[in-house]
Amino acid sequence: MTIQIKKEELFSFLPEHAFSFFADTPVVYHCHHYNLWLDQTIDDALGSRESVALRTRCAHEAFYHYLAQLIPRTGAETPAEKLKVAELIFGAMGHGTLRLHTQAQGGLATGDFLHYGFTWKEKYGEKVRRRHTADAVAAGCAVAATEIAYDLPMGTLDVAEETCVALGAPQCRFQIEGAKQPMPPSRPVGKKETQRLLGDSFTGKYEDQIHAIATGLRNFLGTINSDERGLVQGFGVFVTLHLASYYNSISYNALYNIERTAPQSFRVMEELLIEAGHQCGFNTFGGIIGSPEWEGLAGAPTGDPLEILIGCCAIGRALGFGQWTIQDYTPEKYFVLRSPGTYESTYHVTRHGLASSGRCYLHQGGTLAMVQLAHRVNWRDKPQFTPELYSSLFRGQAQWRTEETHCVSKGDDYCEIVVERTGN
Amino acid sequence: MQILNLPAAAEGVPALQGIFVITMPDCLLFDSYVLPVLQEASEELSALFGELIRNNREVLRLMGSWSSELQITVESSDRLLHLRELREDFLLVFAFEASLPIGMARLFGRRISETLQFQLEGFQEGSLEEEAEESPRAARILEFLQRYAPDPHASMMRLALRTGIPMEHLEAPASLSPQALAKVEEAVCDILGIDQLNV
Repeated sequence: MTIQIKKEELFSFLPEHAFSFFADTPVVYHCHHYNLWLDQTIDDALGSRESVALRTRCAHEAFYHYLAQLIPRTGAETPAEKLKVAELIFGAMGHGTLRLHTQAQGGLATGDFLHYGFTWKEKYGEKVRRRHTADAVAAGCAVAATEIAYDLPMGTLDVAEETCVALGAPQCRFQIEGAKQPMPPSRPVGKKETQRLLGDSFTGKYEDQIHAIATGLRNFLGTINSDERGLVQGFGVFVTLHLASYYNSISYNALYNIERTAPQSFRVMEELLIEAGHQCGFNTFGGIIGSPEWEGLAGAPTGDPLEILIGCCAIGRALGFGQWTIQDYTPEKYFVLRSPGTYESTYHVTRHGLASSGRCYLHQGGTLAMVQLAHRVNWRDKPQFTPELYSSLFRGQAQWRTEETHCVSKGDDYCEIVVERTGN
Repeated sequence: MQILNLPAAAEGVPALQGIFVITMPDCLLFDSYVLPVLQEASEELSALFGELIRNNREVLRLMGSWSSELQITVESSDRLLHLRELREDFLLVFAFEASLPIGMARLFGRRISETLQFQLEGFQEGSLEEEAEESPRAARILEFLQRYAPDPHASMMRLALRTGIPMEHLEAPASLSPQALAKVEEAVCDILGIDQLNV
């Protein structure tokens, strides 16, 4: 049987809500800045040992549900073919090169250029020494793929990353073996579950411009392939197509763990989750708008803040974050971004029910980043979005304040972020 | 504010771009006399120069070597740096134009050191240490974190989450209990990936 991964058939898009799905699984594009920061925040919240365990379990679960949908649609029949599909799709999503040498009872998996370990080393390797493994996502994929390949229930096997490039090893190696503890059963949060929650969509100001740019950018993103390493490098960042469930499950599991065990730290954890979104927005949106491809798509940035906000709104949609719309804007003072739902809020309601306050942290941080990019970056100087620029802009007192005034997670009809000047 | 008479010590020395006087082991700028281009970064440079000498001492220690007053010369295409320890509590750093021969840089460095040694006699060994002790250890640990954390803008939030100590308590480090301080120290080591803090 020939394996066929037909991207066009497996990929689907809900245009009115700007959600993307691959094999009916919610997916989003995210850069290494976001990925590393989010994982690090879970490390900070739980300590490295518990964090690695949680992140691996969440990746295991997310990839199990994903591959269970995907593999039957590829024509793969034998375990070897199914494992091959998992390797191919992992690399095609920009996560690096994963090799699975596993049997029904487990075995070895190896990784080269794995997105997390490799980019951690690139970004932080010369600054700090890491003391725990970085590739929970690859570990989760490896164990899930083995279970799917051999028709095993989720949680039959367990995985540990034994060597990691981020710790100085030449290659990442994963040992997979029979699980000692059962994994709690879980149901996927897929396309059906997401659609069930979506209400009517709406548009906002500058809709024609946003729609045109978002469509062009989404088409462009569809043409991007990973390189021979299984990485996607562009716009000054490493990009992954990632499972939204992974982001959501690590964030909310850790957050609610903190709420139970250290409630005084709940707010600071929220701030760090927002910071993840801010890093994502600033670096990725900034990198995209400053790129030659953007110039071809929307023209070179002139420095007009509104133009940047419109561009960022289109990028948010193209990356699969949701139907971001501009509802209000007063230059230098006030900005309102509204969406009929985000990949965060739809997941939260499905898995955790209603919350007492907003739970769209990527949405909050991303919106704040839009305003910063619009008002604090000199686009005429063709800025490089380096850690030095980031640090120089955001080390001092915050100039803007952000608040999620409405959120589907707390029962509202839409999610809304308001960003206001602090007066500094 | 000038503490020492550095302009007098530098007078007549060709190709000199700056002098940094740094207290050790806390790597803080004590005094400086530098060109404007170096002025803005002088606090940060002091910390890095201090680390440079500390790392070199560690290298020598591991190699079984020892030098009572270590000297280091760093050459780049546009600058020549000469670092000299002075007693156990000061580090002097001289920045010269790259055109100056290394031997001359060492000679001028030694001469200026002799002049400054005389001026620094008023600052007895130990007196600075006592002053440093007045700054609580917690404050020094937090300064260390801010200086070396890869994302300094968020380092205090990370520390608060790791330790469970609210931000407002971390902002008043003198009030931290010994137990809280131990948590802070452990968390800073974790964030920076180091085994222990020598601050």
